[in-house]
Amino acid sequence: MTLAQFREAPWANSHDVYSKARLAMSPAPEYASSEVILSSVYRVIGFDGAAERTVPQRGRELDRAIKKARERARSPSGATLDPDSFSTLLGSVLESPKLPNQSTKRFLQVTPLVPQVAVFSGSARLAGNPWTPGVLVKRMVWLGSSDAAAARSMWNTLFEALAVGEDDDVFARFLQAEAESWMPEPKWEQVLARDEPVLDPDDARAIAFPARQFVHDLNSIVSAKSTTTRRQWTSLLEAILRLGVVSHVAWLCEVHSRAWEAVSAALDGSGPEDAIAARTAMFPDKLACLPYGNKALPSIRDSVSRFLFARLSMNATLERYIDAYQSWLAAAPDIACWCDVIAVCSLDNSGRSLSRTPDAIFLSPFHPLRLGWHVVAQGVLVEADELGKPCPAASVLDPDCVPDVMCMSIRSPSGADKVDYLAVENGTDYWSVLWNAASLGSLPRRSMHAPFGNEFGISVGGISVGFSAAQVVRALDDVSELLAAKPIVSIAVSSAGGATDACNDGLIEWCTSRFQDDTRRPRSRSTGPRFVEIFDDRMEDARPDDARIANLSEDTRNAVRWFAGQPARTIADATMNAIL
Amino acid sequence: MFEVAREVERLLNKNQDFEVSLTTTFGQPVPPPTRRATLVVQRRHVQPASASSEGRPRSPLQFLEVGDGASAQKIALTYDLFKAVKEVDRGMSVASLPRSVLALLDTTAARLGGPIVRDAVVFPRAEIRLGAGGIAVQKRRDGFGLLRDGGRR
Repeated sequence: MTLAQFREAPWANSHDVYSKARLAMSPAPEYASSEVILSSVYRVIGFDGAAERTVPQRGRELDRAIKKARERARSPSGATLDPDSFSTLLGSVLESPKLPNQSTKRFLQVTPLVPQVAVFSGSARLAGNPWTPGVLVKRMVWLGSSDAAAARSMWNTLFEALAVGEDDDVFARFLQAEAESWMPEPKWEQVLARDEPVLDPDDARAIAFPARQFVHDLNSIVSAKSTTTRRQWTSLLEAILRLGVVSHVAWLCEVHSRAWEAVSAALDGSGPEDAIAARTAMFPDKLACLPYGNKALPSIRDSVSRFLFARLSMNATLERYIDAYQSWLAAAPDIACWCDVIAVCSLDNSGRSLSRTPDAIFLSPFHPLRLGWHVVAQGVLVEADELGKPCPAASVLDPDCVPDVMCMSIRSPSGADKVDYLAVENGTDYWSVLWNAASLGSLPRRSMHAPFGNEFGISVGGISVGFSAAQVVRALDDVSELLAAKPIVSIAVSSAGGATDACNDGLIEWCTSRFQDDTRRPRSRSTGPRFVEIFDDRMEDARPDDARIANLSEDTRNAVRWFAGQPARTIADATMNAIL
Repeated sequence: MFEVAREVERLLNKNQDFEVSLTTTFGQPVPPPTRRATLVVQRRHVQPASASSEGRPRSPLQFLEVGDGASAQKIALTYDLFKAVKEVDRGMSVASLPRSVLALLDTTAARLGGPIVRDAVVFPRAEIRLGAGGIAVQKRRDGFGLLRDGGRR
């Protein structure tokens, strides 16, 4: 989408970065009663393929089935009630109030006491493609949980509670069995839940927000199930859903509005200066959108209005940013290529002035090319995931190596020189580091000095990507399992150069977690003392310093021994090339 | 105390039955007969609760124990409840009971409902009544069955 397309239809589409953000207003809320929300939760959690738009159709099918059974004077197998009684049950005993604009229409609308009635009742609209409130509830569970594992556990707990088991209310068991007899498909079974975004742990710790309270309350409501009738319990659940969803949406409106204010201030040069200031600016201390005793509607209208303004402004800013860069690059490539770039230069031979050609350049994540790449990559990955075809190699995608190549214009006495820069591996996800292609030979030596190293937090690898810490740990696990009976495992480490610490980090992490004195160690590794010998063939600068090796020895009670080079007459069980 | 307990028992039960509303929640008025679903079980008994005051001062309030087994619970015999019971005994209509007493009785009945609808012991002699057309369902060993005579009681 271009800026011009966005201007033509600003409400039709949003920028991908905006619409796929973890705090995106997704799905877009419509009017819904608490019974509609609960019905949708049933469908999302336990009915695969029961989309909202299929509900009215299934309701009509059930009506026809009852009519046909009445003509034949025979109920389906497994049903207890005759067709007239079942019709009375749905149309009278369980009938729930219709919305004001639906009062003249004839359709099934029943209290969602049990899962199976959600197959044919309880969609937000009777036509078109209504929104799915259950997905919003699912997103809230993930956002309000401490991490994805806790969210999955909460979601499973909710499924178990919503199901009608052998120890459930006798009326719920009867109703579920009866509804299953009349409408056997789809069957109630847990839908494999794809993970939703979770809040950044630092943000989640620092702020109070409705989704977290919702998850806390949901736990309490679930545990109260055994002391109430099914109707009493579902009414409590509906109350929590109604309050939680409204508070969450109002909070999202507030966050979007405040985020736009922060972005707007940043555009004027007075935005938040660090992460903590940004958090303070974006997240409200307390949410007072529904003060007790006041009318709710004016306050909600105000929140929604501010959200819509923020949505339009944020999207316009994003589109404008990309559009402006493209135009600039086309008009003045020699100047535009230096936008959002930090140059790293060494002193020249005189030792007094900087060399004309930078050794390397850094790109921040807000560089238009990197932002654009994120948009495309996220879009492709999400699309593949939604189609049920997740890419097994997705973890290989490395945002710090994008773009791979960049041509920079550098002024010289004879005009503008074009110098190519190649992406090199580095230890941060934030910066992208590109090295002068003409001086790659100097990379191992130059990358040992400032600004590279611990001070600035960027350690550079080589052109080819080395092992990440996680890969080192996994590889060592495999070797260790293969050689389960060996008391001493030897690992040789070599490298063609570069200074990335990922290999060292992985080695030390693995040794520490596997060999430190820990009673929780798996039984498979507690059969007796084991030792690890690391034969480090790399340059001295690339090895961990003496203090780290000493700490490791102490932590592991000398089970890990680090050698400078490989001793004669030893054979390593595994060899690791840190950088090829 | 026994007399008061008997009067409260009469207020909570309907003749020889105790009815659990299956389609209403706490504080919700009972719908018209055509829209009711109730689980009808045997009468719940009310008796004075044995006051265990060992190691602590005696409670100034008397308590009544409602129901038995898993669903048993204690309710406080407040002055309002005591007065209401006495006035009902004198012939006052139940509909004229003060709101606090009605709320107490309603809460007690609602809290009894949770354990009763899960108590397999009461099912053989219980029935689910649907609407006002005499439809009644009973839990049987292999599922549920329709009571053709529209309920036994």
